[in-house]
Amino acid sequence: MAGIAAGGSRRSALAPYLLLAPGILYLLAFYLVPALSLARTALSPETGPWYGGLQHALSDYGMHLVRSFQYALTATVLAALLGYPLAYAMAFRAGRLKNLLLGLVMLPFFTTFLVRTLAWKTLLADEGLIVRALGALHLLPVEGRLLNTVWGVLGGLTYNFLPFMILPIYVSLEKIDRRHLEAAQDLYGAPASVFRKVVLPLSLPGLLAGSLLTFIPAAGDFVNAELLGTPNQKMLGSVIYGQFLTVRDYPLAASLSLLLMFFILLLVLAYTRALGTEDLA
Amino acid sequence: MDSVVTLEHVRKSFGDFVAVHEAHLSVGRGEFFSLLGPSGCGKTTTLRLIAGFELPDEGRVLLEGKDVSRVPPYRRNVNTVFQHYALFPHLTVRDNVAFGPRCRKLPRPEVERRVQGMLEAVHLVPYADRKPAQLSGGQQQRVALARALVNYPTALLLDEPLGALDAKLRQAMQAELKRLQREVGIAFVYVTHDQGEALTMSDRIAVMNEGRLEQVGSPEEVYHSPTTAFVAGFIGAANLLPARVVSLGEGRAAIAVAGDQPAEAAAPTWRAEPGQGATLMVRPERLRLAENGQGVSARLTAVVFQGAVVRCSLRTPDGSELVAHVGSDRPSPALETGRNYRLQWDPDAARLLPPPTQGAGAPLDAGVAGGSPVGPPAAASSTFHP
Repeated sequence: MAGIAAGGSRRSALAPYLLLAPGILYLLAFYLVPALSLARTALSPETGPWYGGLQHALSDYGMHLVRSFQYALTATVLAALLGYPLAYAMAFRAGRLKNLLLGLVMLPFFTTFLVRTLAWKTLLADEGLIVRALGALHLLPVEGRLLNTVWGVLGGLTYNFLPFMILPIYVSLEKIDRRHLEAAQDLYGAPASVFRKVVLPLSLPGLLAGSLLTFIPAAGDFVNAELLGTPNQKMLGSVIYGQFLTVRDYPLAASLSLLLMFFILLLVLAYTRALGTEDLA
Repeated sequence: MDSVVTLEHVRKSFGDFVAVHEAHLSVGRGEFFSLLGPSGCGKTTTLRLIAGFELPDEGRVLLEGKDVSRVPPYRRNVNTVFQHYALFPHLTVRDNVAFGPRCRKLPRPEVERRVQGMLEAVHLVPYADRKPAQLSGGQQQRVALARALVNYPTALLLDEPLGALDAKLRQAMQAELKRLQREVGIAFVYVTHDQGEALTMSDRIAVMNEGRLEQVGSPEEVYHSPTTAFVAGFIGAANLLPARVVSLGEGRAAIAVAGDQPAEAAAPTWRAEPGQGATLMVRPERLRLAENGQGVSARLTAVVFQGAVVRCSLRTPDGSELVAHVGSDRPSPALETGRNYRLQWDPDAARLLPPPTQGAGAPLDAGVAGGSPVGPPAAASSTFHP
């Protein structure tokens, strides 16, 4: 290896590789091998060209793919709009309440994802508190409902991934040197300019990380659409789930997975490129 | 006096801790004014009161005669060079410097003209498009200066701006700062704990201790005529001896010192009565050693050659310790440890300070104060004790 050849001291030259080895082996065994097997299943149809399976999957389920991205994007934007002010308040204004709030943000993790989403089913039920309250305020039409609508699914997605948005933003805000804020004020920055010119740019890495941590799992999610929506809100994750475990059409399921991975990767690359990855710390 | 920064009886406390007691001072136009004192003496709080980061509990802060006590920092026309610069890490040098003018919504050509001019003045044009992390400490320091001065502030506030630099660079930056200050003609309020720095650069120095202004005066005044034992000990080295006023004459005071030995000192500037206790202050370089004749008797306990001077440690019969610096080129008389010598001084070089009041300057009652032997102001500039 290059490390040995380069260094006079073998031990120190080897150290980084030794530290990397367990992680790399683990990923090789449990990520790369399954991914390759998935690709093989998807790309070796019994008849036709190698891309036949993908073509078929895209033409049958393209709509679900688009919907998955629409929902994931909307949920990410909602989570950012809800999460940023909360993270800001925790980092700058909470004082002694900081740790308590941080604990509360993480509290939902003590209950499993599935149970939390099932609880939302109860919350959003037609005779449930929220529907009745919104009805009484005339924010929801008579006979209007939340469960089994796009709002239910978006609400569930946003709720479930919100902590993944809040925590990275909080960390990046917390990391900002308070002296930079004083310097900005000293240089005639009114509170709004201080936020726009200093706080927001310095917290972009957190916003970027939070968006990815929300968007990627939300795009592949199969629980929220399944439990809080109808077939009209079905996302690609549910389709894959059904094809793998119910229909057992492995090549189709594998093709769909591959497509989902590919488009997520494409979007993430475009996104990080636009925002600049060098600051993604 | 044409004062740009004025503090009127300003008091500031944090909880039970009083950071600044009754600060009362004014800084003139174009003046280089230093706030000097040990850490925790309230000098940085005083600066933050001027900048607007702290609001006074009592008293007023005035900028160019206008009361700004309740005005937020972004509406005060003073700018700060922060201790660790606080440059915006996400902005280039040029954008850092343009931050203030842009926040004030100056027209774009005006912003560009000012920024370019400022970058030229601090020799940073080749680095204009770099980020602060790509600059050396000295370069970052110049960006911090440019970023503040580009706004033509009423006063520039500097919080230990050279503290993070190594000794050699610090010395170069002192000269640079002084040059820049003369060029722009803006009042500098300079916070430092380094007495050498304060003596070298300042027009006037305010010496602070435990939240109080001990003395405000020119470098010569605070060095040669300190008004308190704390100032005497903090600026340069000083021999401080308990003394008693015997009688007061025209410009002179007869005193008893070091075991009731008679001596002379300059008449005190404060109201003193014969019989009253006081503290005698004499700088080590103002003491002369003689084999006999007049003077206070003391035994030589140690002699250390230090190059330009010979440092002599002496003990008086009552047990007080003194230090005398004797020029090494004229070793008269022969210095022999264990022998008794007569200590002589020019009465004008001996100052009578009021006896230490409770609480203030407590550790400096007597004996040799001030750790580092620093000569008069001219020599101090080349001597650093980090």
